[in-house]
Amino acid sequence: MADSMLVIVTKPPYGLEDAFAGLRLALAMAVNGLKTSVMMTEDGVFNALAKQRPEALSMPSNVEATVELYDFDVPVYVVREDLLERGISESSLAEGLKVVDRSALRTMPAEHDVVTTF
Amino acid sequence: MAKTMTILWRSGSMMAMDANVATKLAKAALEKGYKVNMFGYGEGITAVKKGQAPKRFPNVGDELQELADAGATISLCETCYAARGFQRGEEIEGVKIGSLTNNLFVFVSESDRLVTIAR
Amino acid sequence: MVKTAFVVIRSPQELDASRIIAGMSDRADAVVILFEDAVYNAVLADRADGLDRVAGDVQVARDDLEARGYESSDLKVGRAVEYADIVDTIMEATERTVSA
Repeated sequence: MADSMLVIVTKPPYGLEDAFAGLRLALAMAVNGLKTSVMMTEDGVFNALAKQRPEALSMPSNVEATVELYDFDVPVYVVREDLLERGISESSLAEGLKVVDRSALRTMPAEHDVVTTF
Repeated sequence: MAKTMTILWRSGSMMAMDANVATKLAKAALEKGYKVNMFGYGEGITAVKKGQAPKRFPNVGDELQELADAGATISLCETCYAARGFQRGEEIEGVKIGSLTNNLFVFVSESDRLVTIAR
Repeated sequence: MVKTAFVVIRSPQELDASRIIAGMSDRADAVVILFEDAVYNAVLADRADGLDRVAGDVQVARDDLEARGYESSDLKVGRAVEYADIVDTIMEATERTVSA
């Protein structure tokens, strides 16, 4: 029986629905009281950029979908090495994100009962 | 009490064989005596459309119907369903039009394993 | 670290599965299950070497392998398995399932 879930986001925003869908899934689990964490890795770290303008595509905001998670105590982690590989500085990230070393990818699945990937 | 496998599938009925992988995995799990939940999310919801008639490819709608008949609990995301123009009644028998909050949450909570099938 | 089943369905060209697995698991705790075009990971020598370095057990869906014109003897790593075996791996032999 699962009491916790790790949602891994590997896809960038707006070209595919995956990242947004993952963030909404995380919200739905958390509002029910399931301990939920989100990890942005690979191209998923592009979701962490603060200066997104989804209105240019008439799309919902992945930043807003991320920030909404904080109300339900969902930590959202971003892999430092994946930011560096893409030339993204930590100062350009949206508020509240937790930057972690890639080694967290090795420990966090064990800290959650189930894992899903978007 | 039998262990539970939940399969979260997010690929549609035809562009890839992902949904067929999901159904084959579900069938094998049922045959081994596990409880099986399946939840269609995003493009995955297209696989539950009643009346699919591929001439030369596997019919994932029929595969899901057989799973529902064999005891798999199948639900899907209503928001995703409506977004793609589907309406209640277009789904195969035994599939519940549901939500992440009400249905997937319950599936996950009772699961021993969660398997995600997506690209 | 928990024993983890990594599910891969994308082709080697689309996804570097070895890199994902290496970043998440020790070799001894990693089982990789290849479906669809991911089976090419087990028949292409360089990709097979990569998987062998990061996963202690490589399982290849037999129907996907044979549909593409290969058989067990063509595998450079791992073994061909049935869906029943895959269910055993997911439900009993490992503790988490991660889709790469």
